[in-house]
Amino acid sequence: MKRLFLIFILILSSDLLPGQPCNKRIEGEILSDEGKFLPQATVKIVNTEQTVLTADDGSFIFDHLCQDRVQILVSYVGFSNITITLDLPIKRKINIILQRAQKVLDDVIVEGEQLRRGASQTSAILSREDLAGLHGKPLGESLKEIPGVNALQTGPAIFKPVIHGLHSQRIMVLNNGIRQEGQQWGVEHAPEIDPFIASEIEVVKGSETVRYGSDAIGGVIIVNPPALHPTEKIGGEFNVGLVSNNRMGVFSGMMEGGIKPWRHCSWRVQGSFKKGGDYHTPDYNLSNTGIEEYNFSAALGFEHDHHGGEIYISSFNTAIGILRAAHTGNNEDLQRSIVSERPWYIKDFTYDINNPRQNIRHYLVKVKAYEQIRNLGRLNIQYGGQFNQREEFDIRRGDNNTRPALSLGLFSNVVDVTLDHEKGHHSGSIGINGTLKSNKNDTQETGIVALIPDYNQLASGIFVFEKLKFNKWVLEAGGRYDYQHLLVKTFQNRTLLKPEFNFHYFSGNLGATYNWTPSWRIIVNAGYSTRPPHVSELYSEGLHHGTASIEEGLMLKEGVKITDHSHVKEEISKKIIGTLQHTKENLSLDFSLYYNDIDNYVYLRPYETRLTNRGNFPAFQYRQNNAVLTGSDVSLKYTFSEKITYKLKGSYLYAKDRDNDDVLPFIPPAQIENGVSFNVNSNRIKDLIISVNLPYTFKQIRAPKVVYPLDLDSETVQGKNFDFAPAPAGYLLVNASVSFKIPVKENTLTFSLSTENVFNEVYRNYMNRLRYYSDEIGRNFSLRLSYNFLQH
Amino acid sequence: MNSQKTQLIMPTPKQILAYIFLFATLLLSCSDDDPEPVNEEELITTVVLVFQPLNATGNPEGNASVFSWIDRDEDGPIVPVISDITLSSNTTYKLTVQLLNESVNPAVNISEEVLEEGTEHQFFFGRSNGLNLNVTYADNDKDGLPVGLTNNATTGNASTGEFTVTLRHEPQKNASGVKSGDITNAGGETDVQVSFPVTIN
Repeated sequence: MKRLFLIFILILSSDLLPGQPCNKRIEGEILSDEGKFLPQATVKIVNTEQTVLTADDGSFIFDHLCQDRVQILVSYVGFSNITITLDLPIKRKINIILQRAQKVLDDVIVEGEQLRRGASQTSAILSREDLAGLHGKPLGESLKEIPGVNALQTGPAIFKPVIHGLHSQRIMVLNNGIRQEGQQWGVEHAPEIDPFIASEIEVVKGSETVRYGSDAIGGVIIVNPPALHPTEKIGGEFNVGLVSNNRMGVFSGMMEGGIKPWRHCSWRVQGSFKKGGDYHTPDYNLSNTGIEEYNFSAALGFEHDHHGGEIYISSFNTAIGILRAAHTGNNEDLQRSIVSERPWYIKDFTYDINNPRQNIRHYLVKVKAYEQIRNLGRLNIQYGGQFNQREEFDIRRGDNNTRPALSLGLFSNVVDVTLDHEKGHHSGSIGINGTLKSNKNDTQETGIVALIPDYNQLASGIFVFEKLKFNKWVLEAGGRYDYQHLLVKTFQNRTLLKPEFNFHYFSGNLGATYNWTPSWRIIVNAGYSTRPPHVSELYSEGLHHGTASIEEGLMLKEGVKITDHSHVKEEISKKIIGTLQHTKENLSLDFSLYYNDIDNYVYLRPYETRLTNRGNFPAFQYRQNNAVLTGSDVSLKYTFSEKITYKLKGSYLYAKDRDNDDVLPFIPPAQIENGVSFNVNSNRIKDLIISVNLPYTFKQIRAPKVVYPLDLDSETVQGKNFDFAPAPAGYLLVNASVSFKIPVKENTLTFSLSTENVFNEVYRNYMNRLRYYSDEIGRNFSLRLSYNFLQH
Repeated sequence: MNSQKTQLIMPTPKQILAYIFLFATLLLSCSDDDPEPVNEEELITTVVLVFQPLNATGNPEGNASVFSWIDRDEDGPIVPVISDITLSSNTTYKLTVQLLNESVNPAVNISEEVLEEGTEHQFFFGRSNGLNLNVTYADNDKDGLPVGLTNNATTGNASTGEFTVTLRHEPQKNASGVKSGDITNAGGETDVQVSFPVTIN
């Protein structure tokens, strides 16, 4: 252990360190091209001249860095010098491989960083520090911190990530390297992931279908646990969070270490628990919005010389209450809710979770192995087995309340085999993916016709992408072919139908990064991505009680299933995204523009009203139209002095159904956030940071026309998209927080106290599907404590 | 030594493919049992209104008239079949409401369920302007509050209009006006809401 800390740090000019937060670090190892660790190699940060020598095991650490971007120069006798540029914070240990001098070439593998994604993609990261301030929040809510990323909400606890206006089966979540396979088709279905497993979360805002397949058409969310380290002592982290609004407690713990007799092995166990009751708005209780969640994960890793492997298991379990008043029987109920200022059902605070509610379980087993093969590259093989169970309980008569109204089990297997290669200025990856899924409804248990049918899906893809670096350029190109076989088991008047689909589709990607000057960089990426419609888009049938509307798939005609599927087309996205980055000591700027033209974009359009024994309902059907989504994200950080930092974030998105010259539903309104933070350092407490953030959300001016539920008639539904209520007005929130660190021996104790919605503003959020029924939550205090005894 | 070990552990690509294939086959074969169609026991397909004329002493007299509202597929595309209600003017009827699920065989009588859980249910009767038809509750749940399965219906002079029957689940029965049949403050969710054309002559 000591060895890791025995680092020869030579700070040549420490007074050059500007601003805050100066808590970033770079940790890595220097290896020869034969995989030997190189001790006493010189590692220098070019712009500050900060220099360290590597320890006996080739490791080095730079601590307390302030910059967002650094250039590192590595030199070692007999080897070529190399210079690499890193965007901070970087939480993963980096491996830098030096080439022998006679091989002339100066290149590098920054493991996990550059290879993981296209170098020419626009992405943003939530670092460990960012995540520490978000502990206890669901994944989808945490991601809202990133400009261009929003959440489609169902009440205060269910958040579904939206990247540049796309969500659900268009967004892929990569959970510790494995494609998360859950029930992402539903708007009220949040990703089944515990954010506590992550030491960093990255969002790729461009299409990554080449690497990951059709689900990544709208972007990728990469949830990364920290790398496993074989340390002698046990390290770990404990977190406690207390949230005032719903009287929630959140607890999480993680421990990790090495295994003595096998010094190349390491382990980690991690768990979290949270329990909260009803949330409340400034004026009333949101009855039945409690949550209970417990999660567990364990990992075992092995790493030696040129090969390594990992076994990882995780279990996610949650029960979430849905606002009682949001369950509607018919459009008269809905009209009453919309017109009324308050929900019709308000009771006192309770921790009890009653119907309607969701019970969700997700289990994952991952096995991964890699081998560094000389003259060929790195071969990675991984398998992920997942089981996702979703039960939704509705308001039903009598004993039926204890039966779920929806009970789905999704069993999936993913296999990825990739070969990453690297030679001089040229690097790339070639790989195959296979996915086998089986989705089953337990209709004997529910006694209700399933919302989406049972299905088996086999998908396989093959991809290649290559990257070339020269001078100030990084160029990238990739392509992918996929095949999907889908077998659906559905019913028409109690007769089983087994339609089959075969989809063949291609994706391609071109990207370029131009490092104009050391501080300016331009990234441009153009992607062509294809996605076959999901089962839910083909065969959904049924009534949504939250929105009092009937939803039907592409394969239904006036409610009857058709056999001809020649009209079903693949969705094709053509997206171009350009980013301008500027990074200097006191200023960093990130400005992107994107244009996404989508052919055969699948979404629900209204088409008729239907008389049932509860009155008239609007019927929506999935239709395929040409759409365009274009917009811009900006983030800026300016450090005035060591003590004051100003931040600005903003996003704007314009979306249109081009065929019908119409607006699209659920498009996030423009947002702008100003923030300022003060850093007060003293001897006793470290990094005392006081910050105030002022997020302003504009009114969605391109919202669908308003048709109140009781004004529905066959004419109003046949025209343009509509919404049952107008888009809420814009609102400004005030959030404030104080955080500081106290050193406890070698370790750190971090405190943070934050208040969201300081002034108890009453507002409604356009992106919350329960805005028909209730306001958003009021003032909310969170106290977070984190004790960190990491050994690396 | 390491390379030897690697050789032993590392299967050939052919073997890997074979394993994947075997696994896939196993998986597909075990999940290949076909699902059974669902018996939707809770569905309400049919609302039956029985109007039994009463004499001055409140006893049944003459033949009862039966009217129904039938929708075989609830939310599906089949159009409901609705009876036209015809009643005599200035007459008192005993009005009973029956709810049936005729999508299963034998049909299930849902009104029995509603009666058992009377405290969680209440019917409301609405009429369009000008229709001379008044309904008052004639039954009680355990708490002594109306359910509306049995009622008294009184007609006035000849008129026509719409008669709406609404069943609310988990209504706020103690809210103002609710126990006398005013739906305004009832809350809850609508389980049934059907309208009949009525002629009183």
